[in-house]
Amino acid sequence: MSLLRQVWAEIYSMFAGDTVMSAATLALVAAASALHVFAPTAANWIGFGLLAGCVTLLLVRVFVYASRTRR
Amino acid sequence: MYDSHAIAAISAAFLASLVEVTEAYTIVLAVALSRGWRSALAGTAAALALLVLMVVAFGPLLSRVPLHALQLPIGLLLLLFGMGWLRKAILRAAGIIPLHDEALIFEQELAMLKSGGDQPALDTGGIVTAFQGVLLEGLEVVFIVIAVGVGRHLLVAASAGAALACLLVLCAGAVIHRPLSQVPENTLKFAVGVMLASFGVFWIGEALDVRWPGADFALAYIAGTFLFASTSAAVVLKREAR
Repeated sequence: MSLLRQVWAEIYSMFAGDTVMSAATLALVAAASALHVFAPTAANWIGFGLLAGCVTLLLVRVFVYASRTRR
Repeated sequence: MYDSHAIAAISAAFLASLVEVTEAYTIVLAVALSRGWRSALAGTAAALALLVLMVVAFGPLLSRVPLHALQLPIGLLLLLFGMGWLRKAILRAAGIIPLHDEALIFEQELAMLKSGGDQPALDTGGIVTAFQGVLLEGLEVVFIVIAVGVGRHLLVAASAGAALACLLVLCAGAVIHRPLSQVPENTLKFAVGVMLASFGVFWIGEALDVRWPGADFALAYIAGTFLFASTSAAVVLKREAR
């Protein structure tokens, strides 16, 4: 059971080590998917928007963590 | 001949495997020196067999699913995984969280294992420790091999990339018999994080019918964007820390 728990913890940390970042990424992809359904002509903008959103999200989470650690 | 997409996929599997096998090797070496090589090798062999079984079981199974149906879920998992690695790599490069110290981990593992006293030639504790170490480190490699390999029938090539890294680490380990603390783990993690996050964005885009300008070349400028943003963040945070 201990091994299974460790395997589960490892898998969880692989995808949700930073829960806020993972949840926000999911929300971002959900928003991109919704846009794809309701505004399919803007497909390329959705792609670049997704890229910009992910990069911004990554930077925000890194800087938030850094500022909290230094306090 | 492999295209740029295939080369990126194989490189991601190779580099990720290099990092994870280096970490697993530290644990296996500690087991070998404290509980004997037979226990260490038995645990390692069992874990490797289980990891190969995972690739053999899940890889071909997923290969039967149409590519378009896989792009969104696999792309999302790659994005989550890649951004997680990248976040940690930036924080480590900036000195905010400590670098992975193989020598220190080796000493700690060795001290813990030696506290168990003298053991028989084939020791259960040693086998379990080696098995757990290799299995837990290998899970990430298995995920990467399947995720980057399944979409474009690159499973064998990605597995070969991972196996080559494994072989390299084992050869280096067999020669020096010490933890491989010279491997630039954070730089490798940085590179793998960039690659996986880029694959994630690219695949999600494809699933949402994005026609990336430059087709497969889009991977390069997506990776360039992640790389530029991440290295800039690491530099800024490092300067702020001074």
